[in-house]
Amino acid sequence: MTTSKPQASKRQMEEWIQGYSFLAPALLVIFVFFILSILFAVYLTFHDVNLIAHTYEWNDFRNFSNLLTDKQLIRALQNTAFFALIVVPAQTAIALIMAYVLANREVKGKKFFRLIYFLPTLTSSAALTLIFMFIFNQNGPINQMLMSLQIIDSPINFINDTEWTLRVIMAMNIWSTVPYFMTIYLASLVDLPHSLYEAAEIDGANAIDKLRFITIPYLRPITTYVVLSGIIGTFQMFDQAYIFSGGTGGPVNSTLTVSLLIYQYAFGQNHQMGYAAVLAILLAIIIFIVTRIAEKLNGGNGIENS
Amino acid sequence: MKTWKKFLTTGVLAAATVSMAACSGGSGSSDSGKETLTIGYWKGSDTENAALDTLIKQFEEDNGVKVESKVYTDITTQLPTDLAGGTAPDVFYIDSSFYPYLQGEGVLNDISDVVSADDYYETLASAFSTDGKLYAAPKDVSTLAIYANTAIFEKAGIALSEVPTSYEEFIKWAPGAQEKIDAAYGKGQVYLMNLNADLARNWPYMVADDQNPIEKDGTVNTSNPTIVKNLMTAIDLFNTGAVATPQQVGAGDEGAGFGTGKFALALTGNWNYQVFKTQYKDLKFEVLPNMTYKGEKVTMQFTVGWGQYKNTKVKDLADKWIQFVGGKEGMSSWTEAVGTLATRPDVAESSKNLAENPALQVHQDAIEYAIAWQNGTNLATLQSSYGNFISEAFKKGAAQADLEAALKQVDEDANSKIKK
Repeated sequence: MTTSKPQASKRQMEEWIQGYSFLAPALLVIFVFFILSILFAVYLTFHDVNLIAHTYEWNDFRNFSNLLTDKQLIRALQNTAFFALIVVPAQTAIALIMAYVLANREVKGKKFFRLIYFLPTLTSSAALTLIFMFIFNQNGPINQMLMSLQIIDSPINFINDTEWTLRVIMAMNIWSTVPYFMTIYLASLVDLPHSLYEAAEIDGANAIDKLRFITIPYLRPITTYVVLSGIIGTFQMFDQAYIFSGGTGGPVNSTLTVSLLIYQYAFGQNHQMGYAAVLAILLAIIIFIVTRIAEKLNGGNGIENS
Repeated sequence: MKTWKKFLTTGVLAAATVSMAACSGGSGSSDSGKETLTIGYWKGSDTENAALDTLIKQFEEDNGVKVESKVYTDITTQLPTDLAGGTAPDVFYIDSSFYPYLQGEGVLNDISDVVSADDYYETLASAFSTDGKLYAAPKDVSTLAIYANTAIFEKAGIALSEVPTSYEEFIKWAPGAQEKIDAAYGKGQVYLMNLNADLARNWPYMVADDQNPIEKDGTVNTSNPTIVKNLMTAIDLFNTGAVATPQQVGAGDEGAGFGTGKFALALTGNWNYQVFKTQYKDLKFEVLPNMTYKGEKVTMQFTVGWGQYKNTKVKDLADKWIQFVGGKEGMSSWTEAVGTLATRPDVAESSKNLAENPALQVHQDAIEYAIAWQNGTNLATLQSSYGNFISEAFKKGAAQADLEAALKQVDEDANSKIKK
């Protein structure tokens, strides 16, 4: 078997050609719809864009200098960061604990519970938003329950309050994404040998100890995936903020997320698509940095470290 | 082994290329021989959709052509995309607030010689005209008027004739009337009137005294002292304790609030007239013209027109369509079926709908003095910022300083977005 270059055998060349030919259609689609689009977006960031008239004027990095003085962007970043900071740990922890409970051998009716708990993930987020808007309405069930328990005196306007609206959206997001992550955890927990738990019980471990010392370390690679998906999803949250606030960004910009801000600039009537493109690229860079940090904190590549 | 692999490879490649080429070219061929007109619109209620289908069928028969429909769910984002891609419909709906943007982009045809602007009410034709040229034919209009719940007035012992004719008098009269209503229904159950925290509804206060919240260069200036003073009227209304926003009484909009008996008076549009008659059958109401402000009759009107795409390939058909839906016959058919108001005085005079429902005449007469809902290309940004910050000021007990602070925030937010 020779390894010198000029003798890449005819057979190898044929195999290469075959491989790339089969890949060619998919590569073409990816190139046109992903790579070209991203390159076009980067191109847009340097220009004043009028899409209808197809004019692109070089604007001396004005889009980038506007980034530095944008107050709404800072507020949007704060809202998005706050949102991700609460939602991601909450949904990871709740999904893990629910998976741990459901994977337990002694629980009866596991299949039934798994079915029920998976249902929220199947609903579309727009329908979910409308349902939650009804539940948290001033005359809706939550307010009535709180008043009958006498925790509050008069109904709280959850939908249009600077403090509460974003928190309602958080609750809704956690409720709808926990089942999906719980299912992923369950899939991995099935492989956990039960003998580990038995050995721990002999040594006197209770349920919490078993969770802390056996389940969580075993699930570390899955946790990396869940946290990363969670971060990417929460940083891109748009539709719930849009429906709750009617596209404005909520009372006093409290539900303004970066995606909503990008939408307002991209589809506004002032030819600001270039600025929207800069914001979109900024968001992509931020998500990349945050996910890298999260991955490192969680022990990096699970296979190497466990 | 090797030969069949070669054939397989070439075969797959060929099939893939052919299918990708076919995907793009497939939709080009339709009814060959018949000309096609593409119309763009958004869907409304079932009655509206049925009325539009009737118009389409009539047009297809009269002209022996085919009409294709392009339905938009969010026209302000989808139509510019179609215009950029060159796939816009030949004729499409234009809301009066969206008109300045489309006209500024230069995508509309001048239709001054297709239909005559004199056939329409002056306020409506000017909403769709620039520099004396007409660019869209108004298809129908809705105006705001005051609906009074006669049952509530009876129970509270207030005569309808007591309702003041000006907002200034109303502010003085309201507390007394609200007391009588509270005596009859209990405190906090029924409010005298609604006031929405929405720019479109607060607009008459903001443009009174010839003010313009958006200046000529496009910057937003709602916090100038005259506008603040005029908008204080809205705050004064809240401070009487007799006025609430629909959200404050738990209703989605003022129509639902009025229908469920939460408001004795409601400033709402004629689109709710049919709703009140059919969905709230026990509701007894009368329609009064909107109260005057600063001595002038004023109200808002919301109109939609049919415009023509500049690069349409079937200009003759597009002209015929606009003449049809903007003409006497087409507009009669549409307004009778849907129950909106006609934009042509000649259609309004012979309208069966108006003859059977005299209460709607109040709405029709209001067109003469109503303000069209449009103001350049920055109105949408202003509306968004306004909705964002104004509810802080629309609470009972708010003072002029609160309103000024809220409006300054509105200005800052809107201008920061406009100036990027």
